[in-house]
Amino acid sequence: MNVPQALLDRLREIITDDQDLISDPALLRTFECDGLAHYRVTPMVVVLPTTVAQVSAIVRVCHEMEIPFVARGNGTGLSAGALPVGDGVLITLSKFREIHEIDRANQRAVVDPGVINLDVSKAASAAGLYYAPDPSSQQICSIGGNVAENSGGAHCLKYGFTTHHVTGVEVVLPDGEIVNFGGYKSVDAPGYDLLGAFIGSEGTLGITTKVVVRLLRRPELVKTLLAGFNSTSEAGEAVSAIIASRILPAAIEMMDALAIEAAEKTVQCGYPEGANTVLIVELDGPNVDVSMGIERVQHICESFGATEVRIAKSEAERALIWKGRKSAFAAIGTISPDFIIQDGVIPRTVLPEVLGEIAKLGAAAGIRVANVFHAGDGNLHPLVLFDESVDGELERANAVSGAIIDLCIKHGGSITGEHGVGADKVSYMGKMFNEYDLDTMQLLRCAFDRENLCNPGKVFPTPRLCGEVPGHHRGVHPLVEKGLAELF
Amino acid sequence: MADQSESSNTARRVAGEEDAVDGVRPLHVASPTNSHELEETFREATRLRTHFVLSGNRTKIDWGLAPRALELGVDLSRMPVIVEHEASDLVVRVSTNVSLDDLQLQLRQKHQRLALDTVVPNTTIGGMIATGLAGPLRYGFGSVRDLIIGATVVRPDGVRAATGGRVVKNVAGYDLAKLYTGSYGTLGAVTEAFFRLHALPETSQFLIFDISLHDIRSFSQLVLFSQVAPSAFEIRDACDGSGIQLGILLEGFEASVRERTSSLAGSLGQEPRVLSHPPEWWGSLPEDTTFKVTLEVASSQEFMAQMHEISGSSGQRLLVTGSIGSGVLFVGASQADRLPAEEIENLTHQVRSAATRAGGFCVVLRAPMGVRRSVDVWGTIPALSVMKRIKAQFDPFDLLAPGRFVGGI
Ligand SMILES: Cc1cc2nc3c(=O)[nH]c(=O)nc-3n(C[C@H](O)[C@H](O)[C@H](O)COP(=O)(O)OP(=O)(O)OC[C@H]3O[C@@H](n4cnc5c(N)ncnc54)[C@H](O)[C@@H]3O)c2cc1C
Repeated sequence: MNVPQALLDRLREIITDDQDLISDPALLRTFECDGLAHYRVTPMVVVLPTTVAQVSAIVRVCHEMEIPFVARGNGTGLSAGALPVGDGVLITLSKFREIHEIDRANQRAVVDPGVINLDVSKAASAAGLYYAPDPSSQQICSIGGNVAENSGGAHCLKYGFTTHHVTGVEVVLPDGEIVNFGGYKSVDAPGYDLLGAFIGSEGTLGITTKVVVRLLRRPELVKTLLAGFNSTSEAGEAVSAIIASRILPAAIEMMDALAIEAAEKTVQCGYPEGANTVLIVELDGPNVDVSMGIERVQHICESFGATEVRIAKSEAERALIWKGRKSAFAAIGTISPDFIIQDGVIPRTVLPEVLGEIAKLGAAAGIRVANVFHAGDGNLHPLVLFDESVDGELERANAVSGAIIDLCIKHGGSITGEHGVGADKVSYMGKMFNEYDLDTMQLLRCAFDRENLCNPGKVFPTPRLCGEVPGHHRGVHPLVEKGLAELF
Repeated sequence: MADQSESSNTARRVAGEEDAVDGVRPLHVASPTNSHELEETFREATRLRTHFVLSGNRTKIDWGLAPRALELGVDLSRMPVIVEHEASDLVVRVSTNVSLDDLQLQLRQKHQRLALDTVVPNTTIGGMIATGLAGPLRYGFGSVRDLIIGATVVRPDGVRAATGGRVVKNVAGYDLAKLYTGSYGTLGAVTEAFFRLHALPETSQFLIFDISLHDIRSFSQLVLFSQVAPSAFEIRDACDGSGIQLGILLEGFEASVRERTSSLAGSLGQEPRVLSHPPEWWGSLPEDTTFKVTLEVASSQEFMAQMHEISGSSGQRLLVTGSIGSGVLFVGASQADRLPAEEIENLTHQVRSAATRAGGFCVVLRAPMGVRRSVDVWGTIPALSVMKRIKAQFDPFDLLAPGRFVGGI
């Protein structure tokens, strides 16, 4: 796609460093996809601004010239949320890298959107604090991306998601105006909860240029337990029993046989010999609670048929337990040339049933499915394995992957627990929500982006024309018509 | 007296004095008994350009500002009552006409709770969502917006829509439940909500420390950085030199609560009064005129010092309660309604500038009508233009509770 000269000229006025304005087709290709690499679109031009004023000016130009634009963090997204638009501008925030402030007394950090998630905790550690949301991609993903996706992590069972840990954002609106949502370092800013509405809007309501996050005190004690089971259903029942026992673990993760096999091959994590399923349960908090709680969890696992239960005795043992879990996605590559990472949610109680159904789906299609998931909150990450070089396997894998999402919807769950809708799941939105639900969400979008220029084609299957107001009559007011009222 | 409107079967009656919203009396009150009737009532109101206001148990009906125009009251209390407690999933689906206390009673049977306090007696779930008001437990569990995971709303044009879902972890689509929370009923009616629940703790214990003004900062920092994981961290100060009380709620296993109590007493250097039930002031709003103040937690001492000054100088008695740990306080001015208008204005200005200096905001949460008419209830609101655009999208004819909310919304 040729870049209109007028656009280039105007962008050059804003971005003076040539390196930060990319229109060379070969270089543009670096930005054609995010972590979901089978969606690829080369953008018309890429800009890497370094100040809010630049972002605002760029967006203003796009708005005036009616050119679509997409924000990009570090491109680790798994729903093609940062997928560029072919005739649009890609605005990459990766040069916004400053941690402005670690405010110990207020337990807040003020950071740029391009700051890496883990770097916030690193910077806060001297103050005895950390940033709780910990997506598995935390060494590479950006805070701006986290805000856009409302990212979670293994510990969100207890601590919640990004939306619970952000108290303020600075945003460049789709017309270039710079605004602040939230209370900065205070909570409960008066008026509509724009912060709550913005977080998780997948880059469709504006571009985040600064983020204020909550920092937490490091817990006094952390205990991690590993339990092996003969079946996923036993493990699933143990999970329900743990939750019912009034303990709120920081994390409950589950892996099935295929996922364990892959992890063992890759990182030799030493999970219980022959286990069909493993559970990782982590408790954190005050000493006594954690010590008593972990005993209860151990007892529950044993009474639900655990073949082996281990509680990490050292930081090294704990790290090894997590290494198996955290390497799982990458490790799948050792047992299958290609795979799809799915992300769906079910009510925790139907876990055993749904896992059974997934197994049946896979068997019927001749497709293997490995299961790795956040069991505590019912967030499944089935890994659908296939070999693209085998005729028809990709199609069958896609069908299985789609059918898994249908299962989530059928059981009252969600089409995505943390990876977002992006471009990838737009077609499922209409299955989870009806046209009125989607129309209502788009009212919000229209309030921000009437022209549908800000990350178009994401989240919603069809854009709403912002001028139209369904069910409303135009022209003379009916009461005026009836002579019952006067306009004044 | 009930008359039937021409195109709907919803019961309607002529409004009485008791139906007034902040002194403004509607002509009629509609009492829909199901969602269909509610939608029809809204559709009809939009078609006829009728201004309308929603009500539940009317415990907070005089919060915010008086509506600019009002022809129809819509009483939601006769809508169907729904409580579906999915105990093993720790979620509940509840219709918004249920009172929070009734909901808690049902949840308690399965040893669970919605970790939000009844701040105003008899409040309904709908009133709680509309005002977004949370009490002491917000320190440990977050506020209404943090625990609501899904909602069904009816827009001013009568369109019913769902947002979020019944699972806690869910990022599909925009989080409109948060947008509706704290919107003072200006975007539509929330008819049902899903909430995340928590298990009831085995034990709870309230620790009360008596401190003085200049200890606020060091004490609160010690608590914020302690390892005792409080569920609530409250303050009560009558600003008259009679002493300041800090209240800390510890919950969990009995042995742990005991251990944490002594650990906290040790680090604060004071033996607290230990109560198994909350003190009488716990989680309640001051009487009469009440400001809601938000602030950065590290600025609470400076803020409280200013409240003492104002309290001493103006002849006003201020009473401050609230979650000092979260930075959300309630400042009560019991005699405000007896003050001349300019003094109320002055008082509001003083409290508001103290809040601003502390990095937060101040709104008049509730006050006699006379007081609210003479002051700027909401103050300056950032990003107001965006809020107005949202209102214009959801309610293009400005029919629902016009003028009740910030910036004339
Ligand atoms: C191995 C792996 C593991 C993962 N594990 C998890 C996990 O455990 N939990 C989880 O939640 N996610 C996980 N993810 C997904 C991904 O890391 C998150 O969605 C992350 O938040 C994306 O951040 P990013 O900076 O890479 O954003 P990008 O991929 O660049 O963008 C994601 C979305 O955010 C928007 N965006 C980015 N920056 C901004 C900004 N400044 N303003 C406005 N919009 C912006 C983009 O337009 C896009 O819609 C994982 C990904 C990988 C590859």
